[in-house]
Amino acid sequence: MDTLNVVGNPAIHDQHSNLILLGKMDYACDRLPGRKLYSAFKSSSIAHGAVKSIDPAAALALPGVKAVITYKDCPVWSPNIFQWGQEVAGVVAIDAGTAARAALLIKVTYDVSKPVIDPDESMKPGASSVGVIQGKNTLIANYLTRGGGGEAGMAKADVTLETVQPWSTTYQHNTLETHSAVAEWAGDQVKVWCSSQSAFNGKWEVAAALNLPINHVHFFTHGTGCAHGDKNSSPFAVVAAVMSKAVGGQAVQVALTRRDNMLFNTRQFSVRSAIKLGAKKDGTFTGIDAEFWGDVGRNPMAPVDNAHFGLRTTYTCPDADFKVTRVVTNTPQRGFWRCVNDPPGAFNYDIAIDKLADKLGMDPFALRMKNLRAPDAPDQDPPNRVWGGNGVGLCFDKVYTSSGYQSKWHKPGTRVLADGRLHGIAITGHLDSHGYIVGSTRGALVTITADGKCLVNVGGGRGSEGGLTSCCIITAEALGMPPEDVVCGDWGNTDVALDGGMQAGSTFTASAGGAFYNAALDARAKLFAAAVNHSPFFSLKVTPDQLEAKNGFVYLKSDPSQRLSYKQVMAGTPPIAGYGTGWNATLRSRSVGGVAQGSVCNANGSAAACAELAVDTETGQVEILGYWNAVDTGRTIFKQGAIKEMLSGCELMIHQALFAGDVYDIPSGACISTQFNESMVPTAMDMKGERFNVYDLESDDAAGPYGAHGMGEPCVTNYSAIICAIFNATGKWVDPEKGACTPNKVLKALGKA
Amino acid sequence: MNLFTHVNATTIAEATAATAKAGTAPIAGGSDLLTYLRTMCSPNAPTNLVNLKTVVPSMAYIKEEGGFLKVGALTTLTAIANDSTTLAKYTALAQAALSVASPELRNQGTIGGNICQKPRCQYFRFDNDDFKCLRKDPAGTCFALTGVNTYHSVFGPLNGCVAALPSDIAPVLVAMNANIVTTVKTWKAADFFVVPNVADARREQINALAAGEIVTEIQIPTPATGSKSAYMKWSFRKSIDFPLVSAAVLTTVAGGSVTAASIVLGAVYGQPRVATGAQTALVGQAINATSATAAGTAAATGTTVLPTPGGTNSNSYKVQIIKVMVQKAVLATA
Ligand SMILES: Cc1cc2nc3c(=O)[nH]c(=O)nc-3n(C[C@H](O)[C@H](O)[C@H](O)COP(=O)(O)OP(=O)(O)OC[C@H]3O[C@@H](n4cnc5c(N)ncnc54)[C@H](O)[C@@H]3O)c2cc1C
Repeated sequence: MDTLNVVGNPAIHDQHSNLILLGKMDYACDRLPGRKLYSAFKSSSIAHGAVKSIDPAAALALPGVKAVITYKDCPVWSPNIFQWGQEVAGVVAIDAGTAARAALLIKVTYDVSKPVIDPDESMKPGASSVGVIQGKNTLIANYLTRGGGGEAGMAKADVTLETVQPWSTTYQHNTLETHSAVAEWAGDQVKVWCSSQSAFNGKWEVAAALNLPINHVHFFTHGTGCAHGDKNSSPFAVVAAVMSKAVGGQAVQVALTRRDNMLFNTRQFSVRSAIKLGAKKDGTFTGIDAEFWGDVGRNPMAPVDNAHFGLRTTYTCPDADFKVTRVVTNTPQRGFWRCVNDPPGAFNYDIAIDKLADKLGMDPFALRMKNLRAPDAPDQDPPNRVWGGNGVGLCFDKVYTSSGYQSKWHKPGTRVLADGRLHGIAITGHLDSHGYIVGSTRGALVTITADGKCLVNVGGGRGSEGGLTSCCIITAEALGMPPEDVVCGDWGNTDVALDGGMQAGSTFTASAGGAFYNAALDARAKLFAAAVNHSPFFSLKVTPDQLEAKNGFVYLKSDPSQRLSYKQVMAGTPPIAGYGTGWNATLRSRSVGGVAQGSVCNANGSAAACAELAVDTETGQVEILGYWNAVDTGRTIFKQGAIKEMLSGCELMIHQALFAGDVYDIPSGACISTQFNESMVPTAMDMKGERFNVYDLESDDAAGPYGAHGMGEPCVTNYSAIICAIFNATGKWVDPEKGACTPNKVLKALGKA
Repeated sequence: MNLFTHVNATTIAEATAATAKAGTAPIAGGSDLLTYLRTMCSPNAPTNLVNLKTVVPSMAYIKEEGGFLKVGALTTLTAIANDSTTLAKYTALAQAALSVASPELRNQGTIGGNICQKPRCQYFRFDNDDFKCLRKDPAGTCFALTGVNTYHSVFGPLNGCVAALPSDIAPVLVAMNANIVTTVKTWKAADFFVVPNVADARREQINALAAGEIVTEIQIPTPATGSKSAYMKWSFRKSIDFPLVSAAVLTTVAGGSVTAASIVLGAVYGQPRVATGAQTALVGQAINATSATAAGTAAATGTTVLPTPGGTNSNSYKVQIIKVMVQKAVLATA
């Protein structure tokens, strides 16, 4: 697509980086200074049971306290306790310190039930009930049989591999700004500013919880302070609104402490698996029998369903069984989190693939390539759709060649570096369940103003670097305007924007972007209709269909010298509003694999990563020597944003593999790694940025706007490359023990701890 | 945040008088104290803070005098790490200062505050005093003894508590036989770092300071000719983390062999742990890979790995790391 002028232009910056760097971005807690009250929570000291009584008298008696609310006042709270630290009451006071001190004075008594903290315990027959699913602790999320099923595949195999992979890491990534909201009432209307990454979700949540007409809720989200899906839902907006109501409508701020943020927000799942793989001697897969369990904490609806997605879709295998089960525990809720179930699922099945390769005596990369599906091949499972753009092969190729894997790979445990450490390298990758295109529920509004420029009002939060800028880029391209003339107007403002949907699932750029593409075309048509009333087009009796637009000019297709700038067209023309909605994933631009243009297809992102590392066998410390992260964007809309996403993806993969993991006190069920330094975010000294290599690759997705699909999640997903590289270095598999492969666990695998 | 008053002391006498009052504590850089107060983790939190940074004459200095390196209690860790005399002659101290936390915290944190910081244990530090641990409450329990104890002692409990010494500076002061001068007396570092009995009002401290007693100066004897010191710290991350194992070593070599060795472990016990076996193993030997390994092995004897629920996240790795850190620190003094 060499005709694109704005899409993919590497000179375009994020529209809001400057605001953030200069400290001018407004966050929810920046709102209404000087005229708001503050709040704090009282949370449960048991992990399972029910509130028997709450006595707020001592808290109310503390000077400065304005109100105490309990689960009785707040529709998103419950007297039934399913995790340690669950909210049971909240205090509103003149400052945050007073509120926090008052919260400690609230006396709560409980009927205590036995908590179940360990997912293995929870799964056992006869286990105590966690209390969130009637009569049991597990829920089958999905079950799928292909061909004759896994067993039939094993019967055809020369070699089989059976492995039970223990629980992978579970953790909360601890955003810089905690989840927060400020609410105030005017009569029966409520205004809420919130750190949500999904403005309209928040609006509906508040309206539904408080039984309000939707137009009585005015919901705004500007700075989110980082969101990885854990700011998708906005229960704290509801709490702020309830608290504000309790003090007569005066503004109230809810800003979670680090502890509360860790306890209340959704987080990454732990996944356990039992995987059986069958293959011919040459590595051709004959059968897969893969069962995954996801520890979903107290949230039985947590979307763990796609833990198997990459294994199911990336490789050809005629006979297979896939099963995913949710396991509930009395621990904080798992849920939306960056890439949700793909990273831990891939962590488990990539280990199984590498184990099979080891058994076959093959290079694990060669085993993957042997079984990789052709890009145009349809999904093997009903409804057997093709992908609009399947770039996983591109990604694998890129990390393979750029890392120099071919000359670096060796049999496990066989290469010692000059300094005595062991060298390891591995490549993993998959078609990801994210990056899909969410259809027509996404709306967009663009306005061409009198100065010939365009305002883009996005109805979504600023959850990530780039989503909003991407919408502007798509608009500029479709309108034929220079990028600097298309600016983000107010965003995340549910009063002036249409629903852009959530910034999650890596759906935003292609889905809201699709809506902006259509809105821009609508505005363009209106602009052409206005242009024909201006000379020279008027005098030449030009009709709108004879016009084209580029670089901020409307010109005659047959004679480009006959042209008007947007500003000239808009002189004397009222502002033009263009409206559009997105579309479902269909093959819009071309046919794929013999499937006709216009057919429903899949639109997913994909990625591959290569990790090269050194393991110190004396200390268990792992040093990343090189990290290669290749991601199929379909089409890179916002180049700088995509590069930053992929770089942050490298950081997050290293975080997941080597550092991150919540720690639970088993007797109480408390997550005790609640303080910031316990999040173990890797520092600049733990991961040298100059060793990161990132590549945005373009499969040209036939479904997406300008060929784009989502990439923000697939780019964080292959942290399995690190554990596989540790195996390549040491010949030993590390048990992550529900956390990361920290040096103590590496030493344990080496028999030294 | 706990509620507190804050006064600027202008003289050490004023600071001493003010801190003698119940519920009062001195504040230096505040990097430890303010996080402790913000999380409201203890019922014993002070309600009045006396600022030492405003005391005149300033207690922020480094000078060599009368056979000692004298470091004022208010000297920042950055200043110590950057001081050329300290780096050349009291190397372990400079290395320990440089290993603390991050640049921002080293700019803020002082040596006096470092050796007076509160224990680091997830249960002790947990917000809102949700775990009644015995370092805060004599009727409490040590939750880490059978709970989460990955970072804890491998030499058993001290007065019932298995929290490991968090200070990077403390083992160096013991290894270098430092004096700790206070408004009351001059302590030998070896006597200063203790885990008080739970019945003692000082139970939250990592040292034996009396109420109202303020550290004013650290004095490190100038090492004898032929001496070298080194500090090695190990943690999961390369920056910001507290030590999980550390080793401070001071050796004196004459005629090619070690005539005196001081080897002290940090972060593996409630107080700095003098590795006497390692010292004995090293004296009389040349410093080389063999003797360093032997010292490391000797330092790691007598350990007790703590039980863990489900056998996961154990602290057994510390035993291996002690060997390696002592070995490396010894070799660094060659
Ligand atoms: C994220 C983080 C990481 C850290 N990492 C490390 C680490 O790696 N290694 C390490 O050793 N420490 C670490 N610390 C702990 C500590 O903050 C610093 O080591 C620092 O040196 C403390 O000094 P300060 O001046 O800020 O002390 P303050 O916070 O001012 O005081 C600490 C305590 O000492 C008392 N006190 C202060 N000065 C005196 C004095 N002169 N006499 C008597 N009592 C006094 C105070 O009352 C208070 O109880 C870390 C802290 C944080 C927050």
